[in-house]
Amino acid sequence: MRSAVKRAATGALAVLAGTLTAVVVAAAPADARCLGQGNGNTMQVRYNGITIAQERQASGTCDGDGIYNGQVRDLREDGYAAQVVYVDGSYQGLVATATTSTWKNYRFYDQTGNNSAGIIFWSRPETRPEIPASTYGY
Amino acid sequence: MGHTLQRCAMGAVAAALAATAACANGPGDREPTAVEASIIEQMGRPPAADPDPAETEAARSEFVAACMAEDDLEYLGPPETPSLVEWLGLTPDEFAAEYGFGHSTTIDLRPAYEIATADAAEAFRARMEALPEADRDRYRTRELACLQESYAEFGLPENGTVHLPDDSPIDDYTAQAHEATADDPRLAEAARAWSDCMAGKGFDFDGRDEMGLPLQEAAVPFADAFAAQGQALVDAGRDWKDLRAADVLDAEQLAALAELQERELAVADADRRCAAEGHDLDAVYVEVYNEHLAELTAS
Repeated sequence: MRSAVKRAATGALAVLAGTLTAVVVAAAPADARCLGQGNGNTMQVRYNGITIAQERQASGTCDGDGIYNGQVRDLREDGYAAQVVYVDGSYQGLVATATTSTWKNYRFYDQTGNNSAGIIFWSRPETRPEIPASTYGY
Repeated sequence: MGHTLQRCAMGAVAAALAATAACANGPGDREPTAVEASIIEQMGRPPAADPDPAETEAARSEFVAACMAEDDLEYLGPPETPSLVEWLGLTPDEFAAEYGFGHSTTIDLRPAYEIATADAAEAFRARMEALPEADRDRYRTRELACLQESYAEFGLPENGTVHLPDDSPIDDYTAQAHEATADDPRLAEAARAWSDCMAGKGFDFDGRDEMGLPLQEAAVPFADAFAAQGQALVDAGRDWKDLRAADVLDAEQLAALAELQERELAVADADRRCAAEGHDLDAVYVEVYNEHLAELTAS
């Protein structure tokens, strides 16, 4: 079984414990997630017909340098944080947690040298974790 | 987003009409495309009576597959990954009754669940990576366009994720609806009534985040300890699926965890009872949000 332990901390706001690779970076305007260099989109997690969390790419991060700068926010005061987990080769870890509607910056360093990683984005135990295939070209 | 921009965005929607000079596009405030205008129109409508979300999403997948086939691309489909509640084979109500909010009460379930989810993510990524690079770029661009068309056709998913291009005006509408809802006195009144109800049951919270987030954060060290200590057992041949807190944590940790879980379950029970007594903040939020969204999209 893969890096199970690194992973086990994901549901536990491990970023608050400082155990993972997450780095909070200075504020920056943003667009979306990378779909190849220079191309991106945004994700909205919805629950009961309401958008409860969003993730997007920080401006200019889809540039092929192996560093993904993203932003996440939690739009609902529902007692749950919005969380972003990255899966990249044997790495799996929580890289961002947001608890308010203010955009929170995070950074993910490519672990495998291919500028491509899976993202899992979730918010509540009732919501399916979103796996948008991958972000690549970051 | 401020009121001026809000009005500009609304003018832009109504707009097959020309936008006024005052509503010239600014950052994040471009004209909606025809598909986006249809989505915005859908967003303001009340949900269809008793829609079956599973049927709707199956129809959406078929629609997206057909849309992508027009470009000679085979739709890889949305990844099939259950929520934690679904993975446990429970309904949301059953989950709440057994696990409360699921913060401290699921620490020994999450490793197996998250590993399964991560494996699904990695498998899906690998399928994407297997596409020729030119097709991969084409695939994602086309998928995004087809998903948008599906939102215009079926509305946004009730539960699930919406993918939108950069600077989509849809994001402006949802953000504005949230802001208007947060400022709506009906929500503040409902929160006060809920808070009073919770106080009557022995818990003092101003809002749901104040209730839930500390519990979520308090569970972190237990989850970390379970993961770290459980790994030794997994390395020795045990399976995460079969490990429970009692197999992994020591007596002192278990006692502290039990105390936290007891509190979480008590708070969650009080919250459910308040909802049953008419203080359902989620229900009020949804009602007020949809009303603001309808106003925004209709303007």
